[in-house]
Amino acid sequence: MTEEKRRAVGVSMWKLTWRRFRKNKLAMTGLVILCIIIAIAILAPVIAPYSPVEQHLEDRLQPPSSKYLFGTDELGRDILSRVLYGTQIALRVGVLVALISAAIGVTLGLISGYYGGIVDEVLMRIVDIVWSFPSLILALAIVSILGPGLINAMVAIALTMWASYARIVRGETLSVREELYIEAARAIGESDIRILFSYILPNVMSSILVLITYNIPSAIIVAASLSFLGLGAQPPTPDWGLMLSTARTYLTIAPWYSIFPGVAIMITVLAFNFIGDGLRDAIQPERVS
Amino acid sequence: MKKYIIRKIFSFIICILAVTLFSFSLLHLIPGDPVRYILGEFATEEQYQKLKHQLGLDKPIHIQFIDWLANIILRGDFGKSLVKNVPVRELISERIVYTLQLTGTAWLIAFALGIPLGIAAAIYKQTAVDYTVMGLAAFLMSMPYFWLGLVLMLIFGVMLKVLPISGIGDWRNVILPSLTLGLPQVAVIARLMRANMLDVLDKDYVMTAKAKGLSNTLVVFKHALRNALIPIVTYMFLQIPWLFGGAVVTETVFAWPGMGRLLIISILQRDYPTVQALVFLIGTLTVIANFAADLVYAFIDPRVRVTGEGA
Repeated sequence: MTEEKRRAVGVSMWKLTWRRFRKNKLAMTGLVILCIIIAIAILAPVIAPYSPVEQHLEDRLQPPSSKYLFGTDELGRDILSRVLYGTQIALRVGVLVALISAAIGVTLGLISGYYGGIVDEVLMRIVDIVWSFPSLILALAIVSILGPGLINAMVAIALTMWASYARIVRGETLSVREELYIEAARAIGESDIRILFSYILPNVMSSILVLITYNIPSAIIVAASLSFLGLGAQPPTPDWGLMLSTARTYLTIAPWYSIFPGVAIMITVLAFNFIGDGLRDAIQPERVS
Repeated sequence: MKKYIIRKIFSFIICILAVTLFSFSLLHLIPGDPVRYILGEFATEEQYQKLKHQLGLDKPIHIQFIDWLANIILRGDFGKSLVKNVPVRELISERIVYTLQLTGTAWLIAFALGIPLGIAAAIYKQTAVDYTVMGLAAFLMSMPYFWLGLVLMLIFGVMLKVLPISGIGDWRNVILPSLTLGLPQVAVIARLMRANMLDVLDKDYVMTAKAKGLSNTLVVFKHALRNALIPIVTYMFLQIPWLFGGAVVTETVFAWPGMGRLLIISILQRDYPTVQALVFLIGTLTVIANFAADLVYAFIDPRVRVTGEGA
C-alpha cells in the first residue's frame, strides 16, 4: 500500500504492520509460543509441581518419571520446576538488557547524528570497536571488572549491545535532520532535547523495535553462557545456563539433565527470532522479495 | 581508493589505541581498591604492599601505562601470573596452539559446508532443499554453543560411543569441539551465501547471460558466484574474532586446554595480568581482522577499487 492510500483509509503505520505481521505464519507461531512462555513465567509458582530449590536428597539424579516429569538433579531438585522458574530469569534478563542497551544506544545515536562533527567522529569510532568485538569476550572483560553475578552479567551484556542501536539511530537521524519539519521546530524555538526525542525519535522507533526483538534472544544466550561459565547467576538460582553447567558433570549418568534446560533456551530464542523476522518484514515490506 | 585506505588506516590506529587502553584499565576500573579485591580481606599489610608493587600500582598511572605497553612491545612481556607464579606469556604460549587448532578447524568446517549449502538453497529456492537448509540454520543459530556441545557429546560420545567426549588426544578429540564451534557459523554463512546468491541471480547481467543461452550451471558458477562470494570473503576475516569468542565456551564444555579456558579460570581466580593479556591479544586480533576485511574488500570489489565508495 502506498503512502497516499494509507493516509486515505486512515490506517496507522502500526496497524498496517500488524496486518502484515498477522499473515506471516512463522511469526505468529513465534508470538503464540512467546505468549505461552510469558504465561509460564507468571504462573510458575502455581503450575510448578515443586519449589525450584526444594531438595529431595533421597531422589537424586532420578530419570523422568510420573513423580518427576523431567527427572531430578544432583540434589534431588525437580528439573521441571527449575526449568519453569527459569523462564522468569531468562525473560527478565533478555528484556532488561535489551531495554538498557537500547536506551544507551539510542541516546548516543541521536546525539551523534544530530550534532555531527567531532562528537560524531569519536562516538562512531567507539561504536566500531564495540560492534566488531566478540560480545562474549567484551562481556567477560567487563565481568572481570565488576565481579561475577547475574546483575553484573546483565550490566556487562548491556554494555556490549548498545552499538547497533547507536549506528542505526545515527543513520536515520542524519537523514531526517535536514527535513523541513525539523527546521520548522527549530524556528519556533523548540529545544534540542525536545527535537531529538519528540521529532526525530518517532521516526526511528520501528527500527529500534526490530532490533530489540533480535537483541532479547542474544542477551538470553550470552547471559546463559556467562552463567554456564560460572560468572553469571550463582547457585541455587534456577538459571538454564547454570543448570547446564552442572548437567555437564553428570552427562553420562543423567543425560536428561542436559536436555530440558537446553530445549527451553532454544524454544525461547527461536520464538523471539521468528517474531523478529516477521516484524522486520512487516515494517519494511520493500525488503521482502 | 587511496582516500578509502587512508581512512581505514586512521580508524585502525584509533581502534588499536582503544583496545590497549581498555586492556590496561581493566585493573584500574575495579570498584574500590584492586589490591584488596584480589587478596581478599585477610591479607597482611606485607602481602598487600608486595602485590601493589608487583602490579606497579605504587607508581603514577601514566608511568604504569608506559611500563606496561613498553614491556609488551619490546619484550612481549605481559607480567607474571598472580596464581601460577610464571610469566603470563608462558601460560598463553602453552595454550595458543590448542585454540588455533580448534578455531582453524571450525573455520574450515564453516566455509566448506556453509558455502555449498547456501548455493544449493539459493538455486533450489522454495523447494525442500531450501527449506531444510534454512530450517536447520534457524535451529543451529538458536542453540547456545555450550548446549550444542552437550548435545553432540550425548549423541556421539554417550549414545553411539564413537568419539571421545572431552580432553585432548588424537585427531578424534578435535571433531566434536570444532563441530560445536563451526556448525553455528555454517548456519550464518549458508544464510549469507543464499541471500547474496539470490541478490546476484536477480541482476541484469545474469539475465543477459541466460538470454544468451548459456547453461544454468555456467551462469551460476561463472557469472553469479564470483560476485556473490565478495561479501563471504570479507566475512572470512570478520568471523575470526567471533570464533575466539565462541572458543571460550566450547573449550570449557570440552575441557580443551586453550586460551578461552585460561581466560575463564583467570577471571574466576582474579589473575588480572593474565586477563589483561588475553583481552589485549583477542582485542588486537579483532582490530587486525577487521582491518584485513576492509582492505580485502577494497581490492576485490571493483566498485570500491574505482570510486573509493564502500560500505
